[in-house]
Parts: sequence; C-alpha cells; structure tokens
Amino acid sequence: MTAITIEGLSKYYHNGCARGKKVLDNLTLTVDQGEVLGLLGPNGAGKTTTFKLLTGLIFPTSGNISIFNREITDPSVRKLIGFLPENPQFHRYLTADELLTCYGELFSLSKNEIKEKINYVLKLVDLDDARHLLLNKFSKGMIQRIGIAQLLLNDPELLILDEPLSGLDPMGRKMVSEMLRTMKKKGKTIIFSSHILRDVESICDRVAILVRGTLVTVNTVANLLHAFSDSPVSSLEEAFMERVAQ
Amino acid sequence: MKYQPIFSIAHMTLREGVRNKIFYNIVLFGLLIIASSLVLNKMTVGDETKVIKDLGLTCISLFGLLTILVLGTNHLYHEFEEKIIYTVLVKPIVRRHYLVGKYLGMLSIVVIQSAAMYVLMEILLCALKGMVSWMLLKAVYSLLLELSLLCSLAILFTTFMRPQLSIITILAVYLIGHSISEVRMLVAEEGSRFAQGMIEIVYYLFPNFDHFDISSQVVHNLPLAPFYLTLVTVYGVFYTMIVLMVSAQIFSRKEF
Repeated sequence: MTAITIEGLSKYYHNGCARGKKVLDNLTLTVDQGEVLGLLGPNGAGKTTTFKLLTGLIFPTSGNISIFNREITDPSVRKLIGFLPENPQFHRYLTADELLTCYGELFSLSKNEIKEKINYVLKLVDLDDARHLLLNKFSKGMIQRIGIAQLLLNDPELLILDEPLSGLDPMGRKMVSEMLRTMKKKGKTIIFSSHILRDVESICDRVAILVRGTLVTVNTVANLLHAFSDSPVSSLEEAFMERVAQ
Repeated sequence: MKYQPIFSIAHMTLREGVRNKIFYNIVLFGLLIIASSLVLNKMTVGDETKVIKDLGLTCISLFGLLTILVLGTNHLYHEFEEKIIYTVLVKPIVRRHYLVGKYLGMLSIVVIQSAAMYVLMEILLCALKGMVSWMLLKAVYSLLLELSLLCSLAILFTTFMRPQLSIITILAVYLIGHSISEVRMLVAEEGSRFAQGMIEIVYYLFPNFDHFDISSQVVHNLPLAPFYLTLVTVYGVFYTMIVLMVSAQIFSRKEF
C-alpha cells in the first residue's frame, strides 16, 4: 500500500508579482507503507514546504497529495500522522503533562489511554521527571524531546520529521536515531529531512534530493552511491554534494 | 465526542492566559481601584453605593477590554508567529473548531476576571448596605455580552493583522460602537444627506455597544424595559456568531 502519493505538486508564494516565487515545482513522489525516505537538499530547496503541504499547513498551487489514499484535509487521516516541525515551539505556560494531555484529547483518546501514552512517551524521551515543569523552563534540547513525545503520542502510522536532529546534544541525537530505527522495525512509514547525512544513510531505505524546488533524484542509498558519478563515492555526503553541484 | 477538541483548546487557552503575569496585574489593578471606591464613597452626597457600582462596572468594562487587547491579540498572534500552531493543526482538529476553542478560552479568562471584580463589588455593597444587588449582576452580564463580542473581534482581526494593528482596529470599533448613537442623532439634525447616508451605513455595520450599557439604570435603580436583557442577548450572540463565522472563513484558508 502507498502511504504518500504526491502528483505534480507545485507551490508558489505570491509576493506582488503575477505568479509569485516558485518554492516547489512539479514534485511527483510516492512513499510506500513501511518505507523510510530521507528528503535532502540545501537550504531553500523546498523540504519544509513539502512537509507543510503534506500536513495541510499550507495549500498547493497545483497538484495533489494523498495520504493512505485520503485527502490531508480529512481530519481522520491526521489520526495516523505524527509531525515534528523544525525547531518546534509549544505553549510556554503549560507543563509537559498538560500539553500532552491536550494533544491526547485532540486525538479523542480516553483519559486512561492518554495517561498510559504520556507515561510511555515521556519515559522514552527521558523527560519523566520534568512532566510537571512549565515548558518555559525547558532547554532547547528538552523542547525538541517534547516534540518527539508529541510526535509519538498517537502511535502514528506515518511520521513526518523536519530536521529532527537539530538542537540536540550527542545523547539526544542518539536517542532520536534509535527511535527512528525502532519505528522502522515496527513497520511505520517515515519521511524526514536532515543535514546529518550519516544518520540518513544508516536509517533510510530511499533518499530524495531536492534542489531549488525541483526533485533531482530519488533512489536507494546504495544506488545513489554508485549511480551518480563516474567512480563510485564512499558516502552519501559525497554523492549528495556531487548531485547538488551538478 | 465531536466537539471535544473545541473544549481542549479552550481549556489550554484558559490555562495559558491565567498563568500569564499580565493577567494577574490587570486583575489586581482592577480590584484595587474597585476597593478604593470605599474611600471615594465618603466624598459623595446621597446614595453611598453609587460610586461602588459606577466605578466597579467601569472597571469590568475597561479592564476586560484591556485583557482582550493585551492577551487576546498577542496570544493568538504569538501562536502563529512562533509556529506553536504547527503541532496543533496537524492533529485531527477542524480549523474552525480550533478558532472557536481559542475564542471560548479567551472569553473564559474575561469571565473569570469580571467575576472577581463583581464579587468584590458585592462584598463592598454587603458591607455597606447588608444586601446583594441583583441588578448589578444583570449589568455585569450585559457587559460580558459586549466583551464576548470584543473577544470575537480580536480573533477576527488577529487572523489577518499584526497585534499592533489589531489593537488599534479593536479600539476604533469600540469607540465607534460607543458613540455611533449620539453621532447619528447629531447628524440627523444638522448633517448633509451624504453624511446622514454614511452614518446610517456605519450605524448598521458596526455593533452598537451602547445597547450593552445598563449601568445608569443600575446605579440610579431605574427599571429595565421588559425583555431588554433577552433582546440584548440575541443582539450580542448574533453579532458574535457572524464575526466568528467570518473569522473561521478567513482562518480556513490561512497558510502558516
């Protein structure tokens, strides 16, 4: 089954001129259920725009997106999604426990389910001791961990993560990488962006590279290492640099 | 439950609002001014409860407006600008439910603030006269209808304006809404046909906040017209619903 189907997706931001600034151009991509796809590209390539379109935070200028064969505007499909934005921010005057309780209620979970899931995710991100602390007392790394906690709260089938490793110390990065591997083993579909290509290389089944809003390639890591240069490169980072330079 | 997300967002907004230091300062300042009416009371001649009622109702109205301007506009804008809304809207919530939840949360903050001031007024009246004024409760209810409408306007303007501009616009609507009846009467007597036409448009387009002000009847113990509160409730709720519907329409296409 296909988890994500993107067909001819374009996004233009109107800034006074007739058609606007092109951010994403005619993107066509599918992600199978249980697959892990890394979305790579230099800054301004359109990765965050793609994630915003996938989650319904912005609307496409043209093209279609379906998730598990349903429109993203259908709230029921969002029960299957977990989203971690880049540098997430949360309500400063709520505690971690209150925030996750509210998010659990949005998923229409029962009180007992919410309690169980909060206990599970807070232990997973090692924030169990800080559950009654206001979020304005949290460090940047702790906020990122709360972001991971809310991502996993509904046990999503599809995880969308925009730069999940940014702002984390080495321990935090290890924790997120392990979490992604665990989710992969559980058969969850994952799409994420990262500038830390070593992690992408070790976790992803396929990698898509965007440059200036255009998809330049989508392939398995092994094929990328061999297919885009006269002599095979030794790392995804080299393959990426070469592809972007072209 | 279909509408559970609305109450979850309202609860979250209420918690955020009442934990904000600005909210405490506004309430404390309002209560201090109402308490000071005990001193001002001694300087007046006649009914000694007049100052408490007059000052108290003015405080509920003005500090309610201040809370809406400071907390209401900033809270929502802050959620948009700091991307807090990203993780909320991705959850299974309809956008208009999110907005209604924000409105109800904001209204709850104003109700709690007004209730605190009302209770202090009744305590002072009880201490002076040994009785509770039910007319005062009607006046507070009427003011809350006005504040409820102002909350919906704050939500509307914040969906497409920066907080500073929202504040100025809300203040402009507030001033127009409180003075339009008098201006209409003046223009009807001395104005040109064009001016009369313009004022008629403004009169029917903007909410008339004078309808919600029954403080003079309360202060001077005058009777209210039959069904006045019912009519003013229908007026306030109708206007608020229209404003919220327009806000929801704008918000449903807003990009973040």
